[in-house]
Amino acid sequence: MPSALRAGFRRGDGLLGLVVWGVAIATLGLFSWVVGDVGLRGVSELSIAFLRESPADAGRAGGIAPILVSTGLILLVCLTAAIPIGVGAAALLAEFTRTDGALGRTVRVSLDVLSGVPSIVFGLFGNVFFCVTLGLGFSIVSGGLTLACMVLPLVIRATEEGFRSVPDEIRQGAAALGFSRASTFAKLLLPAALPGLGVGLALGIGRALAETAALLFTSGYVDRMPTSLSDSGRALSIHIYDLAMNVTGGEPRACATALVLVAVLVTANMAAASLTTRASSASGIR
Amino acid sequence: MSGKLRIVESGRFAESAAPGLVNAPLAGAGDVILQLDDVAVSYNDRVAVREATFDVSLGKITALIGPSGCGKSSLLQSMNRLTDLIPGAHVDGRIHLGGLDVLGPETDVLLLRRRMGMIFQKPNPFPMSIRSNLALPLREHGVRDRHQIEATIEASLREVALWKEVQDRLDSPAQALSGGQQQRLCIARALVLQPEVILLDEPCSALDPIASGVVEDLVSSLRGNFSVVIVTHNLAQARRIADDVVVLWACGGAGCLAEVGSARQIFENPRDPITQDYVRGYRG
Repeated sequence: MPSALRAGFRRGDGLLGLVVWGVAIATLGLFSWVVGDVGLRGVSELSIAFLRESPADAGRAGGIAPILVSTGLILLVCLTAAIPIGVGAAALLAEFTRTDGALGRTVRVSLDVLSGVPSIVFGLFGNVFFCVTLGLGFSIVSGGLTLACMVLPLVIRATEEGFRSVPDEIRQGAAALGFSRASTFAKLLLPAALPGLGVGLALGIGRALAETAALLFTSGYVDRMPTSLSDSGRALSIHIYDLAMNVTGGEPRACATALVLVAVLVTANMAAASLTTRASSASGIR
Repeated sequence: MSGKLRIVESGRFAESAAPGLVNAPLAGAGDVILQLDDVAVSYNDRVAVREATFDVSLGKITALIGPSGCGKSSLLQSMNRLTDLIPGAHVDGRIHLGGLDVLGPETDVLLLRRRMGMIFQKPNPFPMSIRSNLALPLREHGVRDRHQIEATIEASLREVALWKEVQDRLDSPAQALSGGQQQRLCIARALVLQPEVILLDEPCSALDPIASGVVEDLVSSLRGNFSVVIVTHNLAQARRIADDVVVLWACGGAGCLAEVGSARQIFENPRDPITQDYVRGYRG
């Protein structure tokens, strides 16, 4: 009967709605719980002075200014290395190798494996290669480069998707107008791949900022204000780890630092998103 | 008409600044611009079209007609070597554009494609502003002078009767235009390079009837100033605009030429029995 059918649909719809809303609320709830818990414990420690002062008494007092600076520098080194290599590799995969070719396949599988490697392994590799073999020591450069290795798979795969999203008609049109491959790439494909790069960067920055294990062995945990990139520098996540695990009475400060880290993460993500939207709308690509 | 005059003007203008961007003046009727001699196109081991031999006359419209899958588009793409982009594609035979050996290994493909514009079935404006769509090919081929670029853009937009519709929004995205306008923009984009030959691959088939009519009239108006090769499966369209007609047919799995002749002869007095049945609508 149609009415019964309709009623059944309604009941099903109601149930589906309930499940969807439930899942959404649970997700939101979990996030608020984590942030709320950290916030409640740490918010009392937060102040402008906390952001502007150096840590004292092993972090129990003072602020996190040098740690913020170190984190920023590590991220800068990481992105400076990861963006050009990532875009280059993505272009190679998407535009200059055949999708079913041996080279493309091998690189793609390696990237998938690489993105699944635990960060502690990257940390050991970074320590052996950058700190010891290249003689960079415990430094911001070593840490940033190690993070670059870690986020590269994310950046490459997302940028590659950006290149692949360009319809073939555009490539054909450019070829028919006598465009060289290089200028087709630079003027048409690269602008179109920017949103993909943005996604990759947002993911990569998130992973880089959250990283502890890979930095422990590479950029070290000196909490002084760095004077150059070859200084050791303590990242926010390491500061949290150290305060929570090694410093008795450090927990409120750890929570306050965690709050700052969450704020930095959200800001970085929003910046990456708005930058790429602006870049893509400027080039007219929807 | 004024549009046409303007593009010739801009061509002369171009001559003084960039000698590379000028058409050879179109000579008298009966001259041949493009010659295909025993051309075959194959993809890996599958032959798409074979033994294609015909001439394209200077300043005239040559239509390639025939049923789907008889290799019309493959043949068209072999003329500007767009087949180079398709993995496994191979072209045999000889194609000459004036004195240029199109298929020769030494041939500068980028220059060849500048001399032969191509319009595709689906309009493919670049994802950027209308102005950039037209300026990009000019810059790519070495035109740096800003005034010359602006003048050429206006001339080619007038040529495709798009100037009045877009002159106030040259900096808005090309993809916001309607399908028919996009296709006319693509034709304008080909015209800025002052090609000798324009290849069109079913330029109206993705458009609504009104836009299709506008584009068809535009193609027809190119006669005399450019040599045009148009692939169409629309017999009525071929009859309306073509000077010469090449009929392709599928013979034994591959495309082959059924008949070549003037449009009048093909449509009114076809010699080949296949052509007879095809143009009268009994086959295909």
